[in-house]
Order: sequence, then structure tokens, then C-alpha cells
Amino acid sequence: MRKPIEMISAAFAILASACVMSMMVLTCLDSAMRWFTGRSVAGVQEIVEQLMVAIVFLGMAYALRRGEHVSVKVFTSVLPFRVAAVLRLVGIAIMIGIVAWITWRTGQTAWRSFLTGEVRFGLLQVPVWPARLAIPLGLAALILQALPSAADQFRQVRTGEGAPALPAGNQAF
Amino acid sequence: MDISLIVLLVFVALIVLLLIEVPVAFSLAASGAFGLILLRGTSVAGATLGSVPFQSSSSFTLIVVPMFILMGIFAMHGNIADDLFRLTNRLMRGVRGGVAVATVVTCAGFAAVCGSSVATAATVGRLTIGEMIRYGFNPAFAAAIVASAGTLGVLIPPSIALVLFGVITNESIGRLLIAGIVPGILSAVVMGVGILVCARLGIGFDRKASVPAEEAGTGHGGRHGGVFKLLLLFVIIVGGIYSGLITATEAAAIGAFAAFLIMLVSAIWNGTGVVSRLFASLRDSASITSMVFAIIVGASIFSYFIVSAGVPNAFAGWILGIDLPPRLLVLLLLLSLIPLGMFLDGVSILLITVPLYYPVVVTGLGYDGLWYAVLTVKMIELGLITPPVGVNVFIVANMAKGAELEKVFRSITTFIVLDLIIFAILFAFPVLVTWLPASVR
Repeated sequence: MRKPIEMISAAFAILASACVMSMMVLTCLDSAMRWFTGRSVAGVQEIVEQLMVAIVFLGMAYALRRGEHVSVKVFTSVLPFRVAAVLRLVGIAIMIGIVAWITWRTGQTAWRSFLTGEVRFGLLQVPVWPARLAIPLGLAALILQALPSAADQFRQVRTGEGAPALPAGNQAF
Repeated sequence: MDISLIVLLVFVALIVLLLIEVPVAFSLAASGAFGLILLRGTSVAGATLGSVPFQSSSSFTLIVVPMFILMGIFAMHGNIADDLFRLTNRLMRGVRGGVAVATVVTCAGFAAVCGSSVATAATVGRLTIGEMIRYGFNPAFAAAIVASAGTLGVLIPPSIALVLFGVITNESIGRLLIAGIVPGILSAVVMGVGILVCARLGIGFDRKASVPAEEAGTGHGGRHGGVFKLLLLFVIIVGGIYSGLITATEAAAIGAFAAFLIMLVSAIWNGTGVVSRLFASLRDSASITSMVFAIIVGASIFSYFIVSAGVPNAFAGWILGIDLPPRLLVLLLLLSLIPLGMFLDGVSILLITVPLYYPVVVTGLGYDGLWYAVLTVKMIELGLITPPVGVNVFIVANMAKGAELEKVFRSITTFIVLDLIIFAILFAFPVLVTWLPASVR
């Protein structure tokens, strides 16, 4: 099961990478156009905003796979091994729960947006539903990506043997 | 249920979730949703969860964050730090402990093209720790120098922390970035002087082991291209914003593009793969952006609850009602970030505390927003090097042979003291922060 899940995360990460590249190129292009012609490229700002949403949510599963989401390990690291594993398992369950709820609600919003043809008004009318759809898709992949870690913790609870500890958490700053 | 009881329950829930290793982003989202259920019922909570993720991420201003992250990653591949270190190390030859000052200058220089402390410490540490040890520095002290000087990444523009501060408070992002320059340079100077004093006193430095002055800073000379690359990027970002020619958003995207070209040239020059580096850089920046924004989305859900429950107003009313001199009040609020920094990461600290503290310090007491921003970032810097989870220390301790984590944490006390001195100077003289941004067009 791990392989296909990781492939989904990686595929979404590639999409997110493409969005990062497009964001850079479009913003530079817009800037250059304004510099030379005094006018913006129609729709760039609206499109870039949608790309931002896509980057954020499509990259989320991959960030989890790389252990990049920041968490506090001070407390669990001093607990007995099995107790820590049980607590982590509870934590993962809660995380999956809240993400599933957000996935469901943002999925409904995306569906409505698609049906009503919601657009972002600007110089160009940019449809919003693709960006809205990226949210539940990315979050669903995040839930899938959380399953292998849940399985790992469950195995640790059962056997009392652990995987090597991950290095200290990552930070944006 | 009584509102104050609900708020208390939500904060307890947040702390419990954080303690059982739920990632900060989802701890904030879950406890915020829990609070909204108690306060307004399930349907309001559900509607919030359906709308906030999109609202809090679809903003044109926010694209500064991924662009700065991308620029920093490209810069890491562009040999900028190597060349800068070579040059400064040569200039400092003959000065006892000069190699460490060159390290601080390299950190400050790299911080001018990279908005992250961790990335700055990682990039510069790989180049300089070995050299410092060769020149007589004790491994733990050498690691501590990089961990501490690496925190300049978060202050000297581009700074992701200052951008987020601007997003939360609506302060001008351009001015915030410019406001980081003087405090950043001051920090580097104080750190450099501190290190020279330590080297003279023999703290963390073995005089006998040092390489003779004639030998110091030799080898691989003659290549200063990195310094020009650095100046180019700095001129685009700071010059562009300062002159008012381009917005912070444009500066970030153009800076990222320039850094991309620099990486391209450097990869062709060195005969390394361009395509694989490009893909890795894009993927890394997407992944880090996701991580940062997961916290922003979670914090937005949490703050939706906090605002619905009227906490910011109640908090401001309570704090402003305390009979203490305003300056002392501000100082206490800022100092409260130190214990938070010991356990939470910088993004979370900003997103949790700024919405509560900013109305008190800036709106209520009338202090300058830029000054408060820089002091907040200074406190976050401290959180990056204080035990038990000083991330910068973890990063560099892995790089220095013979430097155990505990020893590095012990050596870092010197730099915590230096950081507090810098904080005190900036706190006492707000003009150091405010005069440069005041002249931004």
C-alpha cells in the first residue's frame, strides 16, 4: 500500500512544483510588461492567487512524507516507548479526523463553485473551482499519507520495537 | 457554557494535542474547530472549515513567501556562500579568531539572499565549521557560532518572518523588510566583536592550535563571483523595494528568477546537472511552502475562534488595565516569547501571539509597528538557539565532528547573552529600527 500512496504524494508534489515555477514566471512577466508598456498582463494576479492555493494544498502530503510538518517532540521523547506510541497513534487519529472534516467541507464548497461557475473578478474572469478542488484533493492525499505512519505506530504499540527516531523538526525560519 | 471556560478548554486541548505530537498546524485547526463547536455549534464550525482554507491561502500578497523560499533554495545551489567565505576569510587573515568573524559575515551575507535561518545555518555551517576547527576553535563553539549567526537569516531581508508579520498586521511588507537591515547589521557586528573578545580571552578557542597567520585564508583564492551574485540579488530585493520601483511581491519573484539564473550559470560552470537541481529546488520550495501554509491555515481556523470569542479585545483590556509603565509592559510581552520559543516554531509563535500582542503594543500603547516586529523576530531568533528544541543547534551539531548536542547548547550561552544585548540596544533605541524604513519611497 505504501508505494501507491507515496506515488500520489509525489505526483501532487510535481504539480505543486509546476505551480511554483509558473508563479515565478508569470509574476516576472507581469512585472516586465508593466515596466515596458505600463500595463499589467490581464489576469495574472488572479491566476497567481489560484496557483498559491494549489501549491499549498497539493504539497501537503509530500511535506508529511518528508516529515516536514512541525510538531513538538519534547514530551513524547521522554515517555516510555509504548506509551509514546499510543499517544502518537491517538494524535494521528485526531489529525486524520480534523483533516477529513475539512476535506469534506472544502469538497462541498468546490463542488458548489463548479456548479455555479464561480469566477474571480479582475481584468480577466478566472474560474475558481480548480483551485478550490485542489484543497480537498490535496487533503485527501494527506490523509492517505498519514495512514502508513499510523500503521507504524500501531506496530510499535504491538511489538514494542520502534523505528529510528526522525531528526529534529524542520522550520521555515 | 461560559465563554471564558470555553477558551480555557480550547487552550488545554491545544496544549494536549501539541504534546501528543500532532503537527502544530493540525493542533491549531482541531482545537479551533473544537472551540467553534462549543461556541457556535457544529454547522458554523463546519462552514468555517469549508471556507477558511481557501480564504487564508488565496492572497496575492502571500506569494512573497514561496518566492523567497525558492530564491533561498536556488541561492544555496549557486555557490554564493562559498565565494563570500573565501573572500572574507582572506580579508580577516592575521586576526586572531578572524575565521569566525568571516563566518558571521558569510551568514549575514547569505541571509541577504535567503529568508530562512535553518537554511542559512545549514549552508554556511557546511563550509565553515571544519575551517574554524582547523584554526583552533573548539568544535562545539564553532557549531554555536554558526547556529547563532545563522539566525540572521530571519532578520536580514528577505525575511519570511517579517513578511508573515506584515500579512498578520497589515503593516507594509516593504517597510518591514527594510526595517530588518540595520538591526541585522548591528547583530552581526555585536556578534563579531563578541567572538573576537572570546578568542582573545581563550573562550572556545585554543591559541596554540591556531594556524599561523601567513597560512590563514590561503587556497582556492581568486574567485569572487559569489560576492557579485549576492550584491545583484540584494540590489534587486532591497534596492527595488527601497526605491519604490517594484513591490515586495515583484521583488520576491524577480529575485527568485535572478537566483535561478545564478544557479544555472553556476551549474553549467561546474558541470553539474541543471535539470535535477531545478526540479529538486522547485519540489523543496513547494513542500516548505505547504508546511508553512498548513500552519497559516490552522492558525486562521484557530484565530477565527479566538476572535469570535472576543479574546483579543479581552486580552488587550486586561493587559492595558495592569498598572505598569507601558515600556515595561511591552518588555514583559516580548520576554514571554522566550519560553514559547523553547517549544514552538517561529511561524506558530508569530501566528498565535501577534494577533494578541499587536493590538496592545501598537494600537493600544502607540508604539511603532516596525520596531515591535523587529523585536518579535529577535525573540524568535532566540527560540531557534535555546534548548530543548533550538532547531539551528540540531542542524549544526550534526555537522561538527566532536560537538555533542549538549556541548553546543552549553557553548551557545555566550551567544544568547550577545543576543540579549542586541535586543536591549534595539529596545532602548527604536530609532535604529525606524530611521531607514522612514525614508522608503
